Amino acid sequence: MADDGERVERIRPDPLPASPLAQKPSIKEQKPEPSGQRAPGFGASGEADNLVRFPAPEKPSRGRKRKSVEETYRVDYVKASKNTWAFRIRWMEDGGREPVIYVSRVNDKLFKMITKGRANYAAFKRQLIASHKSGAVRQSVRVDAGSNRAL
Amino acid sequence: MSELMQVPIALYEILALAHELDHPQAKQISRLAEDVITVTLADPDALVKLQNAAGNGYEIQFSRTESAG
Repeated sequence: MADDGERVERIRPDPLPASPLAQKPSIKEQKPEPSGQRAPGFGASGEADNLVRFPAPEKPSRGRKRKSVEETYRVDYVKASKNTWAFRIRWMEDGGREPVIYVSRVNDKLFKMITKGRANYAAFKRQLIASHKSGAVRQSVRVDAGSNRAL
Repeated sequence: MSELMQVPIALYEILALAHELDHPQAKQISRLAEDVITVTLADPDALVKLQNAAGNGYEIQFSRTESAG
């Protein structure tokens, strides 16, 4: 523990004033090497003309933070008709377009069964998105919501 | 069944049908359907993995164990 304490004192950049432990002659004070900012001829404060900046893309200061591809997909549902609900997958494209794919229509009873429980429904949505993204869906846009399927 | 993403909904349909059955083994079917749904939803890639396995020439078999009730 004492050794650790000594090491902490040695590497502390701003030593405590009048500490007898820190002023021991046996302890060699370690000063940090001057970094690029402090090196002569590269001072950022004094000589701004010599400062060479790497070409880095500038961060957009305005606008909404861009979401990742994973976050752009979402599953929701709409009431298709009386006693019928349609689940659909939507995602955001670059141009602000939001294509939609209707997965299937279900009746009220099935709808309640699927959406019962928050965790269960969240897992259901994740499964739909994963299945959709796997490339199983070959049609780019499907709008009939599987209306030919018996409920 | 035309698309993979319709499988979870189809599983719920099976469960709903099992609930409506008036048969001595309806409860067993319901339990099985619930278990399949639980396993399927637990792993978002479960159906994709199954599809890939089938596409690569593998097949999946279910066998009854001794401990099964």
